[in-house]
Amino acid sequence: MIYYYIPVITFYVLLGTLAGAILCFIPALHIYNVAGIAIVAWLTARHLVPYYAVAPFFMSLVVAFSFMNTIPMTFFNTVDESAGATLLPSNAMVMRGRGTEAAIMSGLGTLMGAFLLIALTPFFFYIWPYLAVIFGGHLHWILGLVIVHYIMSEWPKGAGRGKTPFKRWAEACRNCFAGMLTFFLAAVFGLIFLTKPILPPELAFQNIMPVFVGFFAVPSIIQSLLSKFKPPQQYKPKSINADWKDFSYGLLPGFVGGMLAAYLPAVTAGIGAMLAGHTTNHRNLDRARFRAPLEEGEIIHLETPEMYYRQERNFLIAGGVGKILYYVGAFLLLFTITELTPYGTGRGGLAFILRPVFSAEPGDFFVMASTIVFSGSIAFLMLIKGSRIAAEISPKINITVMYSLVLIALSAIVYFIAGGWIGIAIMAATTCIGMIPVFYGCRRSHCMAVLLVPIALNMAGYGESIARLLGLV
Amino acid sequence: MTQENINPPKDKSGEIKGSGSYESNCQVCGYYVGASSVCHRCGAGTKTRTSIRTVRLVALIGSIIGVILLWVAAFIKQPDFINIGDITPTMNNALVVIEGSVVESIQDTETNTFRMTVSDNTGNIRINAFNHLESFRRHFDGRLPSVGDTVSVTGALNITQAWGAAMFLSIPERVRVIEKFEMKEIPIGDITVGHSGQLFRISAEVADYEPGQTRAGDPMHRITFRDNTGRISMVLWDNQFQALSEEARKAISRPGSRLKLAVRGSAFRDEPQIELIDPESPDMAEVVSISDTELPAPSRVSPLDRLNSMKIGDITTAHAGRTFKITVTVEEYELGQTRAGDPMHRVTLGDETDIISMVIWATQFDSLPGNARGAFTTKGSKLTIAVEGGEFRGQPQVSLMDASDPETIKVLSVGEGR
Amino acid sequence: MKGLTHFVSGVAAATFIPQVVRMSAAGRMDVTGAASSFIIVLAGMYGIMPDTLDFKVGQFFDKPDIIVDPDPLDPDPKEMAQKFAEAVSRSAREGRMIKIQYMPIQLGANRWRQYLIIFGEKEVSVQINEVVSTSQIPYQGTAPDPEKRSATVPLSHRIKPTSCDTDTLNRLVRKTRRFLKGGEKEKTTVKPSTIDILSGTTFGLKMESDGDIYFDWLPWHRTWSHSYILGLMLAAPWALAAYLFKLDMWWMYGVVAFLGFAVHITEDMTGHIGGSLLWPFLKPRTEGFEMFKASDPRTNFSIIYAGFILIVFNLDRFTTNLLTGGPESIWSWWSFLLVFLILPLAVYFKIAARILKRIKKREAGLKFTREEEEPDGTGDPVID
Repeated sequence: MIYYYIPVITFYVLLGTLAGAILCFIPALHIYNVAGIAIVAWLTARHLVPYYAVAPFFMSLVVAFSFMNTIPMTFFNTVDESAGATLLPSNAMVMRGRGTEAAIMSGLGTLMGAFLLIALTPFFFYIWPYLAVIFGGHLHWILGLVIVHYIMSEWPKGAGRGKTPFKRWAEACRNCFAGMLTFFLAAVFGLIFLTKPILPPELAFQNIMPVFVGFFAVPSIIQSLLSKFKPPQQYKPKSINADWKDFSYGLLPGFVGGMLAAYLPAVTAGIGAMLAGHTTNHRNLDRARFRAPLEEGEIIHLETPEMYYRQERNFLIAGGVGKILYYVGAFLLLFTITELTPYGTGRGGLAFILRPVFSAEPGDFFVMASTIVFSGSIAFLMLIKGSRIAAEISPKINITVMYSLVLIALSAIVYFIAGGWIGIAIMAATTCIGMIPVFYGCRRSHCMAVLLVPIALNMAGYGESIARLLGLV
Repeated sequence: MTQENINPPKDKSGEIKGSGSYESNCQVCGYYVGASSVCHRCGAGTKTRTSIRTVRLVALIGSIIGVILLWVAAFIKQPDFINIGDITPTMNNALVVIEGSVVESIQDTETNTFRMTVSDNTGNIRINAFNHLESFRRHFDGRLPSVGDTVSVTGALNITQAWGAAMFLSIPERVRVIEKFEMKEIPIGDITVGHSGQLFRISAEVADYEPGQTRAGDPMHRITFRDNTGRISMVLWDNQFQALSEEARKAISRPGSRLKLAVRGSAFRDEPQIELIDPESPDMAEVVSISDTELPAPSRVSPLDRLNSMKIGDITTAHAGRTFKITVTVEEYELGQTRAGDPMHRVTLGDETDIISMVIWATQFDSLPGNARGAFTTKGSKLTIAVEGGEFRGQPQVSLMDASDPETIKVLSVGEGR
Repeated sequence: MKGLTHFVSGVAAATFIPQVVRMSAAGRMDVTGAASSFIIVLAGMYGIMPDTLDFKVGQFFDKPDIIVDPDPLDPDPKEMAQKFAEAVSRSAREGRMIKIQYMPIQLGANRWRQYLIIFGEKEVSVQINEVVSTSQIPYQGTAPDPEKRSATVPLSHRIKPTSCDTDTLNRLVRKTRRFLKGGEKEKTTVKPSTIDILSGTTFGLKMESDGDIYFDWLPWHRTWSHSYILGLMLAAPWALAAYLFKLDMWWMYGVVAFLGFAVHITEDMTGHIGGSLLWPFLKPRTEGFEMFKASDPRTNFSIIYAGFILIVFNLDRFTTNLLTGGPESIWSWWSFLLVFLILPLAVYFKIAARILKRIKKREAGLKFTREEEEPDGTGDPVID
């Protein structure tokens, strides 16, 4: 019997890998949106995919997507929320003509993350279930902590210029105010939207799609269009400027950020990376020091430690690790079926989206683990080739035309599979909120309040009070 | 934000090829101003970036208007009405309205949960108000929707592959009783076989109470009621009996007590009978008076202690309909689907003599105790189970005797995995 | 210490109160008193509050006497140094603290002009460096021409890093510190300051009784905001609100908020700057015990990790009883803490020591003069 299953599953894993690789070329789509599109496709052809191949198919799709979306993120500047932390370093490298290196470095981080997921199997089965059960009854205030820290840890970016103390304060803290406004608007939007959804019921499983497209994808595109972003000529590197130490430094923040995002509902890789960065940053282990002058005109020479140079590489690598732990790990946790956790520990949006179409069974974990390795290896090879092709063509592409086409494609997707004109209207409203961080320099992840706040309050049992407060009973 | 707008610093500024095109510096002092319309350092205006200012303004105003419009839309929009049979997997999390009659109503005080099953012409759905029983009782002034009522319910669908569709509720106002089922009182002498399936009330005296046992050995209660017009009998299964209030239990078990009961007509061997509906609801069994005559309550013997043990090799199709217990190992487990698309659990059980298959339907699986669910789905688990013999395509098979009774299943060990 | 370190410490401290953990458990849990409360969030919020007050409010309302805002196109080191010399002279002349603020030079979204202020005993130098990224990495070849690179200006008075006009509390801390450390070297020179990303730096200069100018780095930091008294005042409204909303154990909301605030201030006392512990009754800043550097990643990481393990430990023993204390738990409290707290931290410190050794080995051939000042509380620059 098993001899029959293996080739069939392998076929669907290859199909999933290919689908993931293709879907990533709709830039800036969030993984939840991708899973939604895949489910719509699968539901229309469900008789073609045997039930036992559904999970490997989706797993390979997500694995391939987590590798291949590095390409549009790096070369075309279109990032989803999860990649926010790696935006500056990868952008800087593209501008230095080193986009291929940036993509491969991030991809290597993702590959390392894939192997890390497998290596963590004993952790998932012997330690993780305890943590999941212990924290399970406390998630509402843990999300509350994430919210509070997230808002309070955005520090002023302005220097504080102005004639009066109030003007100084207002100038310095404008990013913080914009962040709070974004957070507040996104939270109110989420509370209304999730308390009384306005999309047709048959699209309910995917109702967050127009919201995410508006928050993250469209502002990214508008930003790139306005800035007339154009990547310069890219080098064709034979090696990447990172050693194995860089990868080992990137592992811990990637692990912490990825696991936070994989387990905590509504906490995405962007928020996870921020928390992980604060937790694990060891840059100051090697502090800036002063030496005798080296150049003419210097009084003392400020020695920039090697660790500072590693920082950007570590961001990219940790971003890659965190990304796969979030995208794939959240899915894999569905399969950690133990006596303590008979229904697995998957809590993310992906688990929610996939719940109606399949349920995990004991023993599936190992099928999923082999799928990750197989699909991940193929996807990484595709990434190497793909990033070289992207490096070749990106300076030649008319970016304005490309972004305009992507914007049309995204609008079409929202129109046809996420609620028609109502979906478009929702996308437009969330685009406006998503633009605030772009123009005021605050964190884009503030938009995640759309899920964070309603979920935390619902978990604590305040759903009813919110509905009353909003008059939406 | 074009290249022309930038007044780059005169010294070596670290300008990187290509990067300047998306930087924005003050034309007067050279300080970075980003998307601001005024330089924070020297106060000079940045008139040429009107497009940025416009987009920023649109973003700010649009976001506030967007949130307001969303609220207006949500306020105006009424959730869509759907038939239960039309629910599809893509409706997971949809806020919808269903209408139908209540076929089951459970008030679980221990978990503060109100559950009901609603049926329309197209199917049934379980509606759960987890942790909200108290607020529902307050809202309905203690008279929660009960069996027979026609209700309209607005709630969020929760669809899982394993458990099918259910609806979650947290707001009592979202349940509306369209028609309260008013049961007519019928004299016992007027009840005929033709009343089968109909709901009505009787006002009667307990003429006789006889504790007994089912074929499976479970306790049961046979009660005969009488009024001036005639006599009629009713059978209460032990779980129904236990769900009654203490006062009602006492009254029913004492001949001479008087009660007002909400019942459903039925027939047994062409004779009319009655069944008690919704024993948990105090409205359904109202005690008028309790007699002093006391009879002993039946004692319960665990089915696993009472039933005969059988080896799988000895089970034949001749055992169909008979109950017995088996001690087995889970050899295989498979989650499948019925033709209607509902989930079903196919388990192959074995002992040293043979193997036999058993099907557990989703509703049965749902009511199994947690450890039994884990054991059935894990290869190598050992259990002792009370089962009923059956036949499928000429082969013997077994089914669970009573999935909702934890005393019919004993998990000896849980296996290591599939 | 970093904001997150204070935040996690506050939360960990609150979880030591069994009632707090139980009332925070979800109502559906089989835990006596479970009420889905968000009370623990107060501990985190107040754990980060003192630095929030400083960095988001205090620094902008603390008006400097002199502001140095260099020309982004042509920064003049001589003029920048002269401003400092002027501040020193004014301080001596007016006999009060003169505050001078140096502004950053931002050239792009990810480009800043870096400059150094180097303090001698009776002179100050300003040196203009390369353009750096937000990660403080210099872009090679962007340093100004040698003639515009640096300038030195003499000062009218000697500047010193340690105050001699101290109050009783400060003297007590100094004595304790010397006792704990077995004596300490007297600080004579002021460390150089690097100004590049985000907000600038403020220096306070005050003439003291010995005729020298006391150099106070970030005079607005860790003053009124780092006071136990302020903590009490800010925590009280939560207790009052809980009382008005008729919440069970209303007073606990005030206790938890104060606990978070107090943990922050106490942790900061292990560093160098200290805090105005009893403001407004005792306004001067009390020096810290100088046990750790606030920015030391080893201290921050180990406190965050320990906080996490203690949170798990406390949540379990007060609600789920899976790990320790339950009938089927396999760990005793000490074996759990040994395996999951002490051993991992021991391994961590071993690895950190190896990395430091490697760094020191690499730097063996280079001559370093001194370290720079470094602010704390806000964490490292995070790109987001």
